[in-house]
Amino acid sequence: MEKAIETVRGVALDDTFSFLMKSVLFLSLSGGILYLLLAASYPPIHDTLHHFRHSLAIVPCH
Amino acid sequence: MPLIRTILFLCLLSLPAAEAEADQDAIGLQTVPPLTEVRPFSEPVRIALEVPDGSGNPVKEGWLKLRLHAPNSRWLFSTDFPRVEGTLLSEMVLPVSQGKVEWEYTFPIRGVYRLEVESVGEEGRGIKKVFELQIKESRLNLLFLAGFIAALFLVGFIAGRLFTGPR
Repeated sequence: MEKAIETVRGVALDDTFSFLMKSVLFLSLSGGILYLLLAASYPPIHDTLHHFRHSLAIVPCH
Repeated sequence: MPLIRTILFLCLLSLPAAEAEADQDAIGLQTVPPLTEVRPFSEPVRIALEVPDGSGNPVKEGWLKLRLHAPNSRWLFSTDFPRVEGTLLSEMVLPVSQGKVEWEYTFPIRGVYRLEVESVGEEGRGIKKVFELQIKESRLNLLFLAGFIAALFLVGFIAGRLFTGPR
């Protein structure tokens, strides 16, 4: 990804900045997926993952 | 002499209280299967209460008022069914037959349930006891949880290796 940015912007990215950027993106994506898996109340998602949530013992389902 | 009289009087006063406590302790609770084997939302549990009268004989006829409270919520980890935590799950009056009351119940969540038992019939009136029933979490669910947490750690570890590796 940093290569794409470097190509577009024409500048080399600092290692620290690159690591931070990737970490923020990864954690945001992970948080979003975990929210969908464990907490989203949208009926199709909830109904599909209902048994999965109950089987994890500490995830409040309803 | 007045001191001895006072002591004797106090001993006499304490006698009925001791007898009442003994009566309350005499109420027995049995479950099939035993509570140590019961898991939330599994098979129904057959609960039997044995109710003696004041002299220790089984109460022939009467009524028992039962109140079952769900476990209170914990500050750290919720159960999978937080809506029932700390609520009154059932309140019923059941007939005593030959000193026994039996019913079936499926416990919904893990934790310590409080069962309040009170005799409301003519025989055995005043018998009151609170039972604490502990239901443990299903081992399979704990295994799933451990696997899920391990998977999260693994994904985090792989991501960390990728992000800090050579460019």
